[in-house]
Amino acid sequence: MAGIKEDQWFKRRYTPVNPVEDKEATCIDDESLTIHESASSEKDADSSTLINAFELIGMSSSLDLSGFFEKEDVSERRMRFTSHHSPKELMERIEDIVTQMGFVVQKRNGKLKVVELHKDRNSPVNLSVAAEVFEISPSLYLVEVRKSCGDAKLYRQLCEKLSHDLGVPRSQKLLNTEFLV
Amino acid sequence: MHLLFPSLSYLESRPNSQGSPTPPQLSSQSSCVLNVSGLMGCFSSKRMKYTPGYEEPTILASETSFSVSEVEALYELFKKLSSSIFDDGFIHKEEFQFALFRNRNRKNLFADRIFDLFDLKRNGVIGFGEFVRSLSIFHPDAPVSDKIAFAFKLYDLRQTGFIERDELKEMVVALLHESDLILSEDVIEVIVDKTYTDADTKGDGRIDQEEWKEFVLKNPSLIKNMTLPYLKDITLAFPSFVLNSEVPDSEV
Repeated sequence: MAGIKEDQWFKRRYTPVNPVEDKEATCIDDESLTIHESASSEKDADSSTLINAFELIGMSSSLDLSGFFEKEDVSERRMRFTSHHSPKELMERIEDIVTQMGFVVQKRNGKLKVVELHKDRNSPVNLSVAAEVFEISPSLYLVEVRKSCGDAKLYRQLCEKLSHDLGVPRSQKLLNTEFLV
Repeated sequence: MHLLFPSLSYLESRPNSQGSPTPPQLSSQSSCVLNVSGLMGCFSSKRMKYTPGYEEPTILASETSFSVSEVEALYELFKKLSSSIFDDGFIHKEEFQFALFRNRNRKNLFADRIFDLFDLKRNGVIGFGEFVRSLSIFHPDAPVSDKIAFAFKLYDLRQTGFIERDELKEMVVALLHESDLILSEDVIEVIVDKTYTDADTKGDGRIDQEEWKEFVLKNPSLIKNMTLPYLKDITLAFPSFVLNSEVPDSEV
């Protein structure tokens, strides 16, 4: 392979592409590219915040074709767990935890976005994670933490800290390893 | 190495390039092919190796939300997915499951539905053309109405033209099972009831396409999974290392 690469003929029109570098430079932020919820779609005070069945179904990993494109298994990119804490409390606790870890938090539409600024000025974003809480029943909530791009190791550390601090029991770790048969 | 040396059967499916002004890539010039798994080889021949069922990128680009180079990048992805278990140029159900779950045997209601919708020809496998045409709907720039229609077909499990209440419940139960999430029957009923009431505005006990469309427009996040941001940068993710076909034979 090296020998071929050295050959004049090969060098002639070949422009090496470094996919790893490019991937880090273009962080695909699915929040911005999906249909933007307009302010007018704000739920009115009367309607319940109970999760919509279609929204729940839409969380299925089989309806998420990103597996075609991602090297990492979905369990490395997304974590879900249930909790009895209220959404407000959950969001506050998540915000506290991530801020302590040195992340910057942005809030929008009831979702929390976590960004870690890279030390290097040239590549400002190193990790981008979104957290969302859904109501399953008046006392049970589903939390989803999703990595849109960035360092896998850093993401795992973040998840471990969240699991630990929010008291996610061992058995619920199943939600994260749903693909291990 | 076997991927790089075409067998004679592939010659029959070679696209007819008569009258086409731009010769297709990989045609009668020496080419160096680097496929995505890093194997490399050079073959200098008049034959080209396309998978059976290959369709011209220019045609696919004109019929979908993709550009020609994006279709070519998708071909790289397609080759990778379609050769993971059966190297025959088509994506089989097991290969589809393997690509999504890294587990070829993992069966799933939703994966079955998506597979069936991708399998436009209804012949049990997904060819390149079907792959590109179906993925086109997931492009960020694809019309929202296409996404809404696709989602409807997805959830209409028994293809009756309506999403019935028992279909909705079946899907909720499948999701819970897949996520190892245990909810009581009561809780499931409450969720299904509320959603159904919200969506079935005509009150006839089933959700039709019109009601679905209205429902999605009120709740845009319902079709979040119908958009794959990756498709916007597909040429970066799956670079085609094939040298430009402008290199004439005489120079090599």
